[in-house]
Amino acid sequence: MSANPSRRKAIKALGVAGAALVAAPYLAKSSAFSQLSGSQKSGTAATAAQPSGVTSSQLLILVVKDDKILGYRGLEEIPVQDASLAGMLNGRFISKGVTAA
Amino acid sequence: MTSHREAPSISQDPVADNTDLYAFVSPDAPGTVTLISNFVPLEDPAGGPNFHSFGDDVLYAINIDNDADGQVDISYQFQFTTNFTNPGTFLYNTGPISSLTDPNWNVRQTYSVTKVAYDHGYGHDQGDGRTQTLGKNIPCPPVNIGPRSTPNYAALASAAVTSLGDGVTVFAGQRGEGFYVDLGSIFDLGALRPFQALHLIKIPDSDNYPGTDLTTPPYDGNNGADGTKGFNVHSIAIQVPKTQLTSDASNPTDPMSATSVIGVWTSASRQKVRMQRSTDQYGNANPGMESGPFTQVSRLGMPLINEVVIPLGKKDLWNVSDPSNDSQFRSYYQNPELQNLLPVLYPGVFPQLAALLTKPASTRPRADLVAILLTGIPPGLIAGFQNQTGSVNADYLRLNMAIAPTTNNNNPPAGSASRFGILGGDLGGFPNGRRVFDNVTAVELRAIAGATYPLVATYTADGASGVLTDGTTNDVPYLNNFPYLALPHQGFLHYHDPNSPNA
Repeated sequence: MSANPSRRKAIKALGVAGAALVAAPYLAKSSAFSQLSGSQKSGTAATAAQPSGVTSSQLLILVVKDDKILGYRGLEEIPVQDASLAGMLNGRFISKGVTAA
Repeated sequence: MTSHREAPSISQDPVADNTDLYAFVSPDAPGTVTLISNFVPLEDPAGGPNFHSFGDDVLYAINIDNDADGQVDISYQFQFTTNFTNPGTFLYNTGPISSLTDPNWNVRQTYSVTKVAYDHGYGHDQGDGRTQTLGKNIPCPPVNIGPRSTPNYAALASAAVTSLGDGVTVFAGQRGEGFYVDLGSIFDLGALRPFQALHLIKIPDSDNYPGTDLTTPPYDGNNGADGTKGFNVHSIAIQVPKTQLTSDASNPTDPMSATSVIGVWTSASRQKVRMQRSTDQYGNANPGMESGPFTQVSRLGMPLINEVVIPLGKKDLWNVSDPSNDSQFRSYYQNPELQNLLPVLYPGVFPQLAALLTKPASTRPRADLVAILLTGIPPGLIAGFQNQTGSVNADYLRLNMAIAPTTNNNNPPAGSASRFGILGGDLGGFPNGRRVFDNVTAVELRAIAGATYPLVATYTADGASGVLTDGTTNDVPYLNNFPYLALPHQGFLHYHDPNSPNA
């Protein structure tokens, strides 16, 4: 995956250490997400019977740190390492005046 | 306490905090095993108007390993839903609650029971398991408020015992705390009230404690003070035919057969992400929400392990770890801190143990504790008994289901041998699983003090190790039938003080 240097620089400049974002529309653009969707399950002893039936209308929560993105929707956890997407997400937030605390 | 508030993180999350786990062959239905997992530590019966309950956002589970690999083969999972009948009042109930459908009852919980079976030999992480819904919308009873609100509580509780078919019975709701322990003394630098005259630190002049003579019972002498007296818990109990728990669906009859032994642990899990409840830009309530897969936040197998064996810096890790990875904690079982403290706190009382501890720790690993707590007792140590589950170090209760119940009385006299389980010569009790009345505090104190070390080493145990106790018994009698734990204390009339009129 190619990383946009300027966006990566922006991410680091912001010190984004775990920005929680709600940004469902962006994910549809990521082939990585579609490839990995549903592939990651919890591995702990207490794992629930993981019901499927996740729908696109469910809230999607993204956690972005550096070039890694964790998506949570329903009972799914979808990890993606995509510097380009992470940079785009951070760039959009920067453009809207969101800066790191 | 066995696992009440035992770790920094979970102590902040009571509804997900496992407090006790029991697993035993049902004394009144010996073809079945009863599994009980308790939550919500030190639950005050008067805690209204929002009385204690299960967490709707918690996944509760009782897990079975029946092929000795430390991984779950069968998981009974419980999820709760709370509904308000009348959200227009602040009251839990607007009149007496006479039945589980009484319209006066405003705050109700129901639950679902799901059985998840995993492929043998592969473990939970090799597949999602086969899911079977055993029951939905099963009612919990209300909490026991008092004589005006819940005048016939026993009937309400009984009505909540539910048969799911195929020999499975469940109950989920408030019960009296069944674990007895002298919290106030033990956590005051390891003092056991019956032996506190021998403690390194003498108690201050009793004048410092108005109205309390620390030299006479119940504050001293032969009696401990049950620190959980008058408190409730929330219990999940399930009774299952043995044939549904063995790896080959057989009815276990041979105590020496590996298929007769199951490992049992309980867990609580939360979804990974939580958004807090808030108001939106229009001032409307924005509900909180959870997302992501469930991840374990609490677990419990053998009592008191994460409480007193695992050190502070590892307790949270222990709670989120799988039993199959418990070899990472083995060194704490091999050289438990409490073992090293006993001769210091009680000078001269444990000379054999003190002498043993002068040797390098690496030369005296407590293989007895590893066996009892992590791998099971192998054949050959105790005539006619074993509950070994192989070489995998895994912290869970090990129940040999082929050992028939040894008593139908869940209230043997205080101090009777039966309360000390296998140490008392009763193969039907702890650490062969755990019954509601087993004095697990005394058993583990004695074992850690060296009473069981001669099983694996040339060692003469100190006489004191065979009589250690905190001197407590439970404050209310257990039941002799499902779900065995006592009815919960009511809010209107309950006592915590051992000197109370009801003591």
